[in-house]
Amino acid sequence: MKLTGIVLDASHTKMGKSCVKCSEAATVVARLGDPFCRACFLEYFTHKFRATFGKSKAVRNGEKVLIAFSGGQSSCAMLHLVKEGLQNGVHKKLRYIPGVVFIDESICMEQPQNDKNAQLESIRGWLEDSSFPAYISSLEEAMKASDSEVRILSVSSPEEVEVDFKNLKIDPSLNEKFIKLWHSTSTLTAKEDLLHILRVQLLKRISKQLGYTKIMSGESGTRLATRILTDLSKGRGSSVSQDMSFVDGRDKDVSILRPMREFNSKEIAMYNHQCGLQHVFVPNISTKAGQFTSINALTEEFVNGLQTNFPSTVSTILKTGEKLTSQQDAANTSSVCLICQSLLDMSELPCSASSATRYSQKLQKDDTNSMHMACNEAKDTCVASKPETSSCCGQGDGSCQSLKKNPELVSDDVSVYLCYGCRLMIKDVTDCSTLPPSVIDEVQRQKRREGMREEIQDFLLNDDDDGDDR
Amino acid sequence: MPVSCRMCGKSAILKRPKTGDALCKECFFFAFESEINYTITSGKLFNRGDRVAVGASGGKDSTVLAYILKLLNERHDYGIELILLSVDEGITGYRDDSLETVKRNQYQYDLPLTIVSYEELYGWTMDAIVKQIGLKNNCTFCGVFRRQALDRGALLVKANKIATGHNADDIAETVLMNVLRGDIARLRRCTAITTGADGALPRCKPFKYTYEKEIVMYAYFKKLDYFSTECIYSPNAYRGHARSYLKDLERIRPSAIIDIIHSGESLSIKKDVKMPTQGVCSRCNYISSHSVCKACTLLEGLNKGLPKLGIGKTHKSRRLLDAAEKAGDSVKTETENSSTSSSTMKKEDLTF
Ligand SMILES: [Zn+2]
Ligand SMILES: [Zn+2]
Ligand SMILES: [Zn+2]
Ligand SMILES: [Zn+2]
Repeated sequence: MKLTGIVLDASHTKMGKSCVKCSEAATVVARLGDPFCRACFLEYFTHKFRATFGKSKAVRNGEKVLIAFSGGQSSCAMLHLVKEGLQNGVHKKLRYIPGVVFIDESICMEQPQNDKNAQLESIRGWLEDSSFPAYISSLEEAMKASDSEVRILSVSSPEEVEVDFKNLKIDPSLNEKFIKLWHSTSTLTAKEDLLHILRVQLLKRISKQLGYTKIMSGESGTRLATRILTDLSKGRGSSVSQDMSFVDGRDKDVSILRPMREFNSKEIAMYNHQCGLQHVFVPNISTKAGQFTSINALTEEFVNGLQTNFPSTVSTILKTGEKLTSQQDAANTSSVCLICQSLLDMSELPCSASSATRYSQKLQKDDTNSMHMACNEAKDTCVASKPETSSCCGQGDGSCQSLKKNPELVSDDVSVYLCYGCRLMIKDVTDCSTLPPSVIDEVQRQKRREGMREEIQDFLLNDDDDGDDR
Repeated sequence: MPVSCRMCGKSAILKRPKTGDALCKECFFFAFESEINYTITSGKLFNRGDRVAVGASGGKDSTVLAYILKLLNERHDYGIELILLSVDEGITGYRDDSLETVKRNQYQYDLPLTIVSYEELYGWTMDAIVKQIGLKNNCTFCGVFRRQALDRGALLVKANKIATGHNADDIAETVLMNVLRGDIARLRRCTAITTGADGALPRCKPFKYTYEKEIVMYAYFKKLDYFSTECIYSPNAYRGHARSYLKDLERIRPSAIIDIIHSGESLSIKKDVKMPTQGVCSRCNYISSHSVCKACTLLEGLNKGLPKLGIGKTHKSRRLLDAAEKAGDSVKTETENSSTSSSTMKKEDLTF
């Protein structure tokens, strides 16, 4: 029988397993099969959480840290640990100033309003209990133009909450914009990516607006191991390191911290059980869809299955990820992806997966005189121009009528500023004009700059200087 | 209502697994061959005057590889010389048939063939090895021995390069496997199109970006003769999981295979991560990260008669060996015996 991460039942306790730390009867078995009594288990857990911060020295004294709360198991444990830590003076040397935010994603889910309300009620319970400054915002806000402020509801100020809590006062036009984008995204895999990216973008905007410089995100080790595999599967190999490390510094102003990464999902469930924490059930978009409908759902199933049979699976995957790095530091800031802020990773090498893909697409696009195919890489070839009915790349087959209104922006225009993984995602977005204004504005800005550059090309002395010190 | 070919407009007869486009047979051949030529030229896989040993197993990948290399060499005048090189592992009922296929290919494609056997190279057939170690670790043996066998065989026929039939699916699967196993050194190497560090000769993979399904499709429509080589000794379970995960991924997003290879190509490893240093095996001179290479270590274990059973029990393993050699129809008891020995072995596996 496998004991890893299983709360021992009474018969086991009677059989005389005793705690590895003290000699009390054990009630919990932690990941390496060590039996613990309740007190020692909580101690071990808290210590590990604290050590994660201590090791990295990522948080400065007095820094404002925004906890991204989702209501899930790991998120609840994280919020609880922070609160306990500050109350009991666990973080003696480290005093940061926490705030907490919940982003309502219910627009993606088809759920009865009653269920949504019940979820929000429980979420509010958690936020109020934390006694930290607490905020609620909703995913639609990510559709707001980048120069305007997003709407953030303060749970700590009662008058505002009483009146508007249940409908969150969403601007109907944002709602409509989001729905358009959502319906224009044809696969669940792309929807999941989009949801994740918009959520992170919104979290960063909220942080900046409220003056926070760090975001605490509660992904467990199990979740991050899954992320490593989904990243690889979606062509996002170059972001693995940033996506799983304790500090994700892709954004210069706000970095993301992942303090729950040292725990696997079972340990977290045990901690919550021992502390009597009740998490909030918030369904995600693939909850009902089944494992073969999206890369995330499939991978989650795959990792959980392996973990059951080979208990070191999660930690081995994480160790592999730990040895990877991103070349972000060495990179020019203008060469990051407009959507996910990762390094642009489209290889210019002639022999690479991206050039092989470009070649295949060119081969089949060139329908008129295919026998004249030479290996020259025309500058207009690009992943997004793949002739597929689901893409919006000016096939002229009537499927992209909406684009004609905005001839300025087809997916080719957007794609050149994106990393490989985001190009894949965009390929499943039928109408690129539905993308968030933050993306579209930036694409247009970059296009204008390129036009300018072309015009003054002959008078520039230094090839490398793009005059863009953004 | 016939669908028309995306490229030429004639009636299409197939849907390309890689792109989903409907094509006619001729256009599919053209696309398939052009892509492989592109890989070969852009990756600079061959130089004029190279003598290239094509690892030929009689299976689909190597059969199509031999066929297409010959075709492209003539069409684009690479100026290379091709030799078929087969390894006979000594697996009854597996190689017997596939070697027949290779021999037929030799005449069909008019390419010289050399067969090297495990028995010649190592003094052991795979059948004999399996009898000794059981089914559990035999793929390790087979893989390690085959790797060297190709090199040794290639040197024998005076080739200066080896071309193998590893396709995009294989490479994507290997990327996943290396992540799951935590093998960072292999993870870094496995997406290289030409590897020089692994063996005595550079090896290249012209099918690196070619989907397995398309290779089958090409062989099917070209009516190429190949032998379905499912190794009768089942592959290890872990790799099986990775493979079925990959198949499921492909179903959700057909480009996933290439996407994983792209990921593999864009991984960079932290500078402070220790990598095994490459040296040379003190016994056989084969490139190795240890003083004695894995093949020699495995071989020593075999020759000493199951050292994993521990000293003092040698007579037991001797009996086992003797029984194995005599083995006629008592296969069942044999397997039972060997499975106990392989579980004993596991602990000492760590010393490798
Ligand atoms: Zn205790
Ligand atoms: Zn991106
Ligand atoms: Zn055609
Ligand atoms: Zn050796």
